[in-house]
Amino acid sequence: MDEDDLADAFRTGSAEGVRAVYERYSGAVFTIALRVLGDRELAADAAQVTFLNAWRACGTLEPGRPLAPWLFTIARRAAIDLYRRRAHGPEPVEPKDDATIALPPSMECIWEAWQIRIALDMLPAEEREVVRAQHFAGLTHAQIAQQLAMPIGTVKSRSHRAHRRLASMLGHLAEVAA
Amino acid sequence: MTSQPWLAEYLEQGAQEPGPYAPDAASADAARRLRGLLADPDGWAEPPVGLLAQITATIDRERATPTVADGRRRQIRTRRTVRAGVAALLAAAAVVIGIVVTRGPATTDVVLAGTRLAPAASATAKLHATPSGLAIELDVSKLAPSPPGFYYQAWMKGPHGLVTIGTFHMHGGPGTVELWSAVSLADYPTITVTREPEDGNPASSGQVVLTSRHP
Repeated sequence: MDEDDLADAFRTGSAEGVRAVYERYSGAVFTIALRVLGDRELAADAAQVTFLNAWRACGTLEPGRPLAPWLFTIARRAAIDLYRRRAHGPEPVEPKDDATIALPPSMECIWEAWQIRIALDMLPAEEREVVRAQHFAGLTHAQIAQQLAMPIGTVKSRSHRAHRRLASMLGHLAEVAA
Repeated sequence: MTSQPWLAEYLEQGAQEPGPYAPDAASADAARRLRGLLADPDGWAEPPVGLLAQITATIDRERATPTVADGRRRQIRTRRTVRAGVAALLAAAAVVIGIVVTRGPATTDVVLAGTRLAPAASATAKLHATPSGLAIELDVSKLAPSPPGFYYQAWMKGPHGLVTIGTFHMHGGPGTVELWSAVSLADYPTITVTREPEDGNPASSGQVVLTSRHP
């Protein structure tokens, strides 16, 4: 289902539309909630609020308007709201040192994390597996070949294709920074 | 999408520094940051199993119990698909939402009711046409002062979109809020009040606490 079809399906508020959007974007929603909240349980709450708020507001998604940035706004707001509610909760027993008070990540940081997660989730599964082993687990191509029980040439070719795709999808982030 | 062969090569080679690959220092900084994010556990984390089931169960419950949000969504869909009937809709809505002429032809009253976010709250908006625009006195009752980090924002909504008509906090308790609008009630027939976080985002949070009544 392409992005326009996905948005059309979601706009109807149908269960199928919600499920399809969840499958495409739940990873990205959960990632930015984790970056803001730093806690899996709270991040799950924020993700749930995100999809419910998005469903409740699906009629406001204008035809032709991209779904991903619209959902990002809802997800970020849900996470920040939860962050603030937690920040304004009962006073801790031990007073916080000013130096330890953390601010939520900036809009730019959250947006970058969102785009990177979406790019990773758009990779074919076999390429994503190699990228994950390389960057997340810190393995070499030889170690990946051993772990995944495949020829090292296959690992290298998948890694090469995957990084080309990632650079194509994320290159604008480097350009913006430049 | 932009083709960045140097970026692909840097990310793939796993080099510690992007210097030999990046065309300039700023691009090198960005590439270093991207590489860091690719290794960040948050970037690979999966939501808990069962979250989708919880979401769909909540949606099913809400479907079974129509809410204010459902009403708003139905209204928006109707506006989009039945453009030709907008004038008739507005006329019907005007009757039902309680627009009552009280102080001559230039003044109207609109009744607002609390949503499930503020079920005890209510308000009456007195709209008075002036040469400068629409002067609005919003008499608010039982709306709690906005919590720290939040404020209230009033809006007028219509088929053309959403226009803000002012912000307030009610920290002094119930009372009257003075608002101004450059758009007319005929074009923007719904008045709402939302709760907004102080995050610099000018868009509505969608957290409606007061809304004028709908058919």
